Amino acid sequence: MRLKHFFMILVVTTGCFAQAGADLENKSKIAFTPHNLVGTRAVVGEDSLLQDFTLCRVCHIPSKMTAVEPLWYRKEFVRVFDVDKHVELEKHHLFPADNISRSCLFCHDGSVSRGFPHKEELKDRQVSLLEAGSESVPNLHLHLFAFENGDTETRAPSEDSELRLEENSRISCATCHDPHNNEQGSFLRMSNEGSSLCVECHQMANWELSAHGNPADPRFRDVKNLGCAHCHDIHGVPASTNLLAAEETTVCLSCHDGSKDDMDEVASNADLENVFEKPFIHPISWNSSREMPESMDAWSRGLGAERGVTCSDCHNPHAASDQNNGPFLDGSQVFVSGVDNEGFTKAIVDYEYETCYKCHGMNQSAMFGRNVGQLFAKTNMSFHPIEAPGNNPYVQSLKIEWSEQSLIKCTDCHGNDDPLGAQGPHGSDLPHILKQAYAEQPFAQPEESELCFQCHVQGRVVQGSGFKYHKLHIEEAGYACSACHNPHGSVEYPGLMDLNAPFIQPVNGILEVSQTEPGHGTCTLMCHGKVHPGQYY
Amino acid sequence: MKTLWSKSIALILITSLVTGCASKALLEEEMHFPAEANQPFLTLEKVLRGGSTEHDGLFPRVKTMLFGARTVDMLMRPVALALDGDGRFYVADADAGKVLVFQMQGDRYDHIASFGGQELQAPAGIVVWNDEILVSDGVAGTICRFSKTYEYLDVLEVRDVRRPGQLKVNPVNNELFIVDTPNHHVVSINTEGQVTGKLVHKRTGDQLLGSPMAVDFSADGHIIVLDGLSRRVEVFNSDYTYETGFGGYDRVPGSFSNPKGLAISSDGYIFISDAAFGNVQIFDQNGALLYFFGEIGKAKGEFLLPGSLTFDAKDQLYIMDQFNSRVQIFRYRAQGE
Repeated sequence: MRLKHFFMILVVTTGCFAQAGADLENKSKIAFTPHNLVGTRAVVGEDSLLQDFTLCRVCHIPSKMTAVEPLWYRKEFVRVFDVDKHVELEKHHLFPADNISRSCLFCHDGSVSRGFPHKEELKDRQVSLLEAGSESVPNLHLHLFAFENGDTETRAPSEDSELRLEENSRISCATCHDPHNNEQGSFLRMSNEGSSLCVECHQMANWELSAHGNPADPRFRDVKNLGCAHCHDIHGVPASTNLLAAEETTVCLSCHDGSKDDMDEVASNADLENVFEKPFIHPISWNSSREMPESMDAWSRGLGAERGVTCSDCHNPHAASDQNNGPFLDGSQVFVSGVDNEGFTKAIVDYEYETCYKCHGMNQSAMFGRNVGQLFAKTNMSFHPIEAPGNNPYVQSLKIEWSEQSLIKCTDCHGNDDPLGAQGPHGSDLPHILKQAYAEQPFAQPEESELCFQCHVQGRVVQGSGFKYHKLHIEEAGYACSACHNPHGSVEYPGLMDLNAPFIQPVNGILEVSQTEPGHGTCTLMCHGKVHPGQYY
Repeated sequence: MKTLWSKSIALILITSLVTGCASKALLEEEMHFPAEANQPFLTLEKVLRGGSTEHDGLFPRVKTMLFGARTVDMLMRPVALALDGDGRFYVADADAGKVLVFQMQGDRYDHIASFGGQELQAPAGIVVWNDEILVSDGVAGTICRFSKTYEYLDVLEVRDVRRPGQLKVNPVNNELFIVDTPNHHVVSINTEGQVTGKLVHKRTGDQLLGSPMAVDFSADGHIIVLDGLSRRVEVFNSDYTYETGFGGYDRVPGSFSNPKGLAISSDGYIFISDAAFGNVQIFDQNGALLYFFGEIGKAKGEFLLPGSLTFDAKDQLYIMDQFNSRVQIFRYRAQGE
């Protein structure tokens, strides 16, 4: 029994010494780092282990002296100051308060060490889109928080992770940094190549297939190497949430501006900056100090005045990909939240229109938005097939690539009018961010509504397919498509008929278009003085 | 109907007045050090977070109700403060990357302007010198000159300064002292910009000051430097010769751990803030501990890594409570020699 105890003690003791030896071996590496403020490598022996512990005193406070009693007031005699005192801070406190971080910040606040953690890297970090004279919100907030349940994209590092948490699962400087060991650079506890350190905690959906996390195009491999740090400032955040290195629009457009990023030499994907200079845009510029185009005045009375829009409303930068395009959802819009056709929010959209419905549908959280989505409801009398295939089983004017069962996307009509420019509904020279011309005035040549004829064969339409009086209205009377049709849908009438135009009036109090069979029915209305009293077509 | 409106407005005003008085009573609960002493050495006068200091009254409340609150800057990480003698003072904010200007009006401190947002990256020190405001930049390694109307003038070129930190003017000869921590010295220049001297640590041969953090001047002409990493206070004569020093690295009263700020009161005592202790210790020039106050924390009278200290002419002590994003202002009652 005694022998057993002896061996147990031996094993435990040996283990302790081994642990202590490994610990000393790691901590001795400080001699070869900038944290060796003694400045000589003679502090280690031939075995590379510390033999002079003077340099430890830079951070580790000794406790050898005897307390001095203050001369002025002796009722508050204190033997030792509590340098490890725990301070519980509010969630949004700007700075760390744990005792380890406090000892780091003694130097790393810009006094002994240059700049607050990594602040010097912010110099010329991003292309600033702010106008001269406007002041960006400066650096604030550290990467410090306690892990909370319910966050699906952030988790505490696993037990075998190199990262370590402080009490109550809080992050401190020492979570990612080992002040004794600089083998990985920046005193990191593990390599962060390709953001491998970041993903210990941050598990972003589709990151591995995303254009930012794993770009297929070899020109953009630098994006993968730099990873999270390309957009995020790990310690501080200037203007925005989520530790972004700058205001969100600035971050996105610093690469997606059609040129090379000045600092990181990363080739840009598309020149969105120029697209957002166009007169009709999704108003991301409202989030910066850039001047709003005059054409955006309408937004000041509507949804835009309430919330504006940012890139991340439509794109998830951690998931956006060119590798998983679907028929109803482009890869650039995967893993984005949205609103379905009944007005319910969705964490991840399945269809492109659900992203659009965030602002243009029945989103209850968005005030005053125009509910375009209601015109696409499949319970309507007619609608363009965004949510479901259309009601009309015989759309004879459709081009060969379309059928009555086809679904279309909002971006089939809305997008950049420059087919060679950056695609998507970011901006256009045409109203409503349309890809092609669409005449809104009552009278126009068919060519002025070329948008419609991307799917509908112009000749067939004009010659009367689907509606035998098209030729009369279009060619002889000179009406535009929009004179009679709503491009989105119609709640009451067939054929996307829109009877709300001021030049369309009721006859004897009746305003109606009915359909008795495909392509045939009656019209009861007066248009430009011409009375159609229940006229059969 | 008109009567109803009048009654409603009166009710709102009375409610505002009542709640205002209640909060004022809370705000004016004074904090003293020592708390039980009949004649405390220090009294907490204000906690400055930016904007206007907490004040109350019917007019400001009604004004806010009618016109809304004025947009003001809030402090993020105040690191240095300078006074210009006409009730105006300037707080250099390292993380805001600019300087916030405050005007003292009675017992109020109103934020009236900010400047330097374009020119400064991380202000480290600030001083008013020759009718100009000088701000050192810890990242750019420069000293920027601004006019008293906050216009950027240019960079003050100083030979032998690598990264200027705290700035202080010697009232005896109007020379500007520049703490240059990475170069282990403090450089003084005259109004012509010429270097007039350097403070290095002569106590043991040619050893330089380890990491000078702050400098101040006693009424009897001594130049006193806080050496942070050496955990010492070094006293120099007016001719820059080393005279004496004191200090010690430990966690007991009378020692230093992470000292960051130094200021000398009108009665010649040396106040040292310590980031590790979260307090301020008071010494005489021989190094005898007289008193200490404060501890680590976020409540009033507590500090998170307190930094620079500044006395004004009325012995008000401004403590940069940098990681609580505030300046705590104490009234010090001079104890005499």
